[in-house]
Amino acid sequence: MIRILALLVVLVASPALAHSELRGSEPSSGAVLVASPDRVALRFNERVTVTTLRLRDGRGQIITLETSGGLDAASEKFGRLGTPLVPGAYDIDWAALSADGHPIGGRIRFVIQGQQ
Amino acid sequence: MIIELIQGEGDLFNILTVILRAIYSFASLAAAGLVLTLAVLAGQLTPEESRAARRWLLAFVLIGMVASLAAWPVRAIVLAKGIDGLWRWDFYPLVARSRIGDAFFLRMSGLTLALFGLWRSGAGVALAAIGAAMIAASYVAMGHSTLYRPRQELAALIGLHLFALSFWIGGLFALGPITQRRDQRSAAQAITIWSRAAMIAVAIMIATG
Repeated sequence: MIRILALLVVLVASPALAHSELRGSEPSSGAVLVASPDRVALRFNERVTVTTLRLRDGRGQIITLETSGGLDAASEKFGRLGTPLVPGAYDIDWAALSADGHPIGGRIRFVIQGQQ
Repeated sequence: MIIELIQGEGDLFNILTVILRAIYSFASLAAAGLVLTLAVLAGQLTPEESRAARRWLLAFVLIGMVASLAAWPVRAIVLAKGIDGLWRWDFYPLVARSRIGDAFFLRMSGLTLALFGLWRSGAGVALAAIGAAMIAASYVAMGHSTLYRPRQELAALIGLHLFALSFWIGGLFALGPITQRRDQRSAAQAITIWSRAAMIAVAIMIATG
């Protein structure tokens, strides 16, 4: 009886699985760029609903991004820059509703060094 | 949940979300367990013990409902990464359509039906027991496991596991007054009946992982 119970436990045990994950971004976290990107992008391992995609400069000022797709679920989210960024440090703040319904989020930092 | 708290960015509203989830999880499972305990110990409780158990039931139902409702605006703030999320009315239907929303509606319906446990009748116990099952099922809707195959089997196992677990959580609140009884023989009889059901619950928890 105990062996049967143990076998049941082993058969039905599933690995602990996390929420959806950010797999990559443009610019990538910690990137040092020589020129302004023309867009920011987030890539996930599955379809999520990105609820916040915000770019801030080193002083905390929000920089306008043109995003599309609204609150539609997608595995990628893009934000186009209206004007090129000047050299400095920037943060991409993002939040999303993952496939399992839980909120996820993070911050991606990058630097534009400019021409040497 | 604890891992999320440790690995989180330290954002206050993320932490608050996790705390609220812990509160409504415990309260709703305790309410479900009290419903089951009242059913198992029907006729074994003194009027005072019955009243005490029903007071706990009411308290846990209310705590579960309030914490569940409070989690909505906090989630909206987390999704907006700012307090202005409170006024993002487009976020609330988004959450409602998600698995978190499914779990919320199941849990609230279950907690509402659990209130029938305050009504001392067979019909009341039956309705409340359905509520207890819905509370357990709400965790199936919210969990990660059912995103992957075999979904139905995992859903059934998780639901049974939590249903059995709730018996232990809620039952302990009803047992306290019984242990204070002057008539130790009747107290032992009631605890024996509860213990038999508790052993079945343990077996179910082991079998369902």
